[in-house]
Amino acid sequence: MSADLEHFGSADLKRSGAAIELRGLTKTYGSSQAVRGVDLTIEPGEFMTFLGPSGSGKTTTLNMIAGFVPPTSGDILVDDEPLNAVPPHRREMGMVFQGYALFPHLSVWDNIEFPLRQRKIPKAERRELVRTAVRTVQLEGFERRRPAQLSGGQQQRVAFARAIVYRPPVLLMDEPLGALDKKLREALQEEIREIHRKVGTTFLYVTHDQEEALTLSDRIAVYDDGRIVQVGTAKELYERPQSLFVAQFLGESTLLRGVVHPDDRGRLHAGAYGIPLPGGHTVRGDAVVVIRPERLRLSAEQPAPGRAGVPVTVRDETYLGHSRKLTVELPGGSTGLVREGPGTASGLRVGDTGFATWDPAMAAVVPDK
Amino acid sequence: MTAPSPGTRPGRPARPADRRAGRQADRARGRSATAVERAPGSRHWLLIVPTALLVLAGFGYPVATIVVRSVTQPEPGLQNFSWLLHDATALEVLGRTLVVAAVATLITLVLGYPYAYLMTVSGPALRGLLMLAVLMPFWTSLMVRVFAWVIILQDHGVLNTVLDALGLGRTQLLGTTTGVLIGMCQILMPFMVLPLFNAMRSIDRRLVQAGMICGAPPWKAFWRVFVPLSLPGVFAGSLMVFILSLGFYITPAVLGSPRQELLPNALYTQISELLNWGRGGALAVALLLTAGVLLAVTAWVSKRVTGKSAQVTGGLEL
Repeated sequence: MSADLEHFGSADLKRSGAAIELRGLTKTYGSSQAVRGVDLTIEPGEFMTFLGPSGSGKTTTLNMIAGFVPPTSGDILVDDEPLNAVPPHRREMGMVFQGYALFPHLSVWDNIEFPLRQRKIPKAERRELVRTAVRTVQLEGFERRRPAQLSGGQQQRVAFARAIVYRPPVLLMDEPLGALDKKLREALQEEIREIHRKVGTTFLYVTHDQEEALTLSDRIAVYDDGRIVQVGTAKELYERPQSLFVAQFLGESTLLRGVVHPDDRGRLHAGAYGIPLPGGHTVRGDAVVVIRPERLRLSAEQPAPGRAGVPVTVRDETYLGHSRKLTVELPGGSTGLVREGPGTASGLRVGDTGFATWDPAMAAVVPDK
Repeated sequence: MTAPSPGTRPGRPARPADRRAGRQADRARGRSATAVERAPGSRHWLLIVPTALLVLAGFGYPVATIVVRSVTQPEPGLQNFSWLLHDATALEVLGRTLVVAAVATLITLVLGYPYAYLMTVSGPALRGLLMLAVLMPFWTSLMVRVFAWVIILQDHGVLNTVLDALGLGRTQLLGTTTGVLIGMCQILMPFMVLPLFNAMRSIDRRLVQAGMICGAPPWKAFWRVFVPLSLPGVFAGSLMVFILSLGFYITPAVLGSPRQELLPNALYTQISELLNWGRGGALAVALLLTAGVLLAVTAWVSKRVTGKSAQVTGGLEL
């Protein structure tokens, strides 16, 4: 998609992204609450992803921003203008739907031209804009085809072109890559990022795929049961999850359960072990220490001073080429995950006992549910 | 396929496995291939033999007889068609029949389109009720329905009483083409609504949303996206209603007037009362040709407009 992005950058119509603010956004269907008081500020030009399991309210939030679903309460502001009373066709947003929602009775060209016709853009200019969009998504030669005559990936490109052709300040995407196979998905992720870098539009992306969210986004809002449970960069969410849900939804981890006593906040008491915690946390009572697999080291010896450690037994080993993944049994019977790279190989084998050690500052502590 | 690999027994004719491979190759080359895998030597076609015989004997033979009689009675020649094309009354009847059929099609379309749309967007309870109302005419005998209309439409009937009460004055409905049209439209409604509903419910509702987010106001998104996609249903329903209208006999006979005869009634008069099989045949052939030409034209237009052939059977997929 990168071939003609310069056209987008230089075009007169180019607008920079808009800021979006959600205030107490709530949607209730009968007695069930789909979205429960979402507050979020999205910066102009930001790539924001709503990540969460299905039914967690992320798509409902997107549909409220698009104007398809009226909020039960709360406000949506775009560049500080409240949108509540604005119908979808005047919101000036682009949208890529799940399953694309291309107009089956129109050709690729007419699909992409549709938003421009609605805006009464003169014919010559329309032609230029459509041509640029077609080039951007590399669909030259397919202009006369109907959507049904295209592959899934090509349809996705048409949907994308239709959504960006009028350079909306906000682009909404609802699981746009959900129907594609893994290879194609990865290729298109690259292209979406590339376009985001060049056009300056605010991107709002909904997905349940955590890898996709980590790859694409500037920031991620993690949804659970109608609420945003944490907002942050991929790194923040991965390394500093604030809840067990976020820790478990994004990536793999080893969990150590115990109690933090109010008078001894530096340690997690887990059975006979006192596990040192990272400084500055605010968790009290039942708590879980979350350690990512690559932060754990295995060794036959006791942990060095300054490192935390628990005795483990290696139960399983998976060779992954660039690394080795080991499943270990922790005290108390639960399992942990260790990823060893070439520099951190321990030499322990299945059945061996030893210690799993980590730097307490690299672990996170979250309240136990 | 567990058969040994091809070539173990040279000279043998292609086995199914080989043929299937060939078909896949065809598909890869973009040529159309049959979707249904047929077993070799299948005799499934025998299943349609009884129906085919019935259609031939019960439909093909009489139609052929009529066509033959139209050019052989009372003597061989085209005099019956010459009469049809030069007789003012015959032409008037033909013209009136076409106009009545066209108007009935238009009325059922105008009434049926919003009705079918409501069925598409409503919840299951309301949809069930609407469907019941559409299908009701199917569960009542045609004669009962027509005579019910006589009672409603007569000069001192329900409709005229209401019109009078509203200060609009009484108007003659029974024995007029208007009365015939009212009765026909009620009877034909399901044939319009069902294909429309069938076409509409297969339309992805998010397409209209996509139209709106692209900047089209709701009515325009509906007009530019939903309506074009519902056209196959419009064609199927209109075609069905129009062709059925051409053949209406009982309704015009009871609700209409002999002075404003429609073609099937004229046909009946020619054959049953005047025993003029030749002229009756010519009228029948005219009816058949009109329907045939219309089918062909609609199929062609439908294909041009929607890229699909008209789903004439659409309403029957219930």
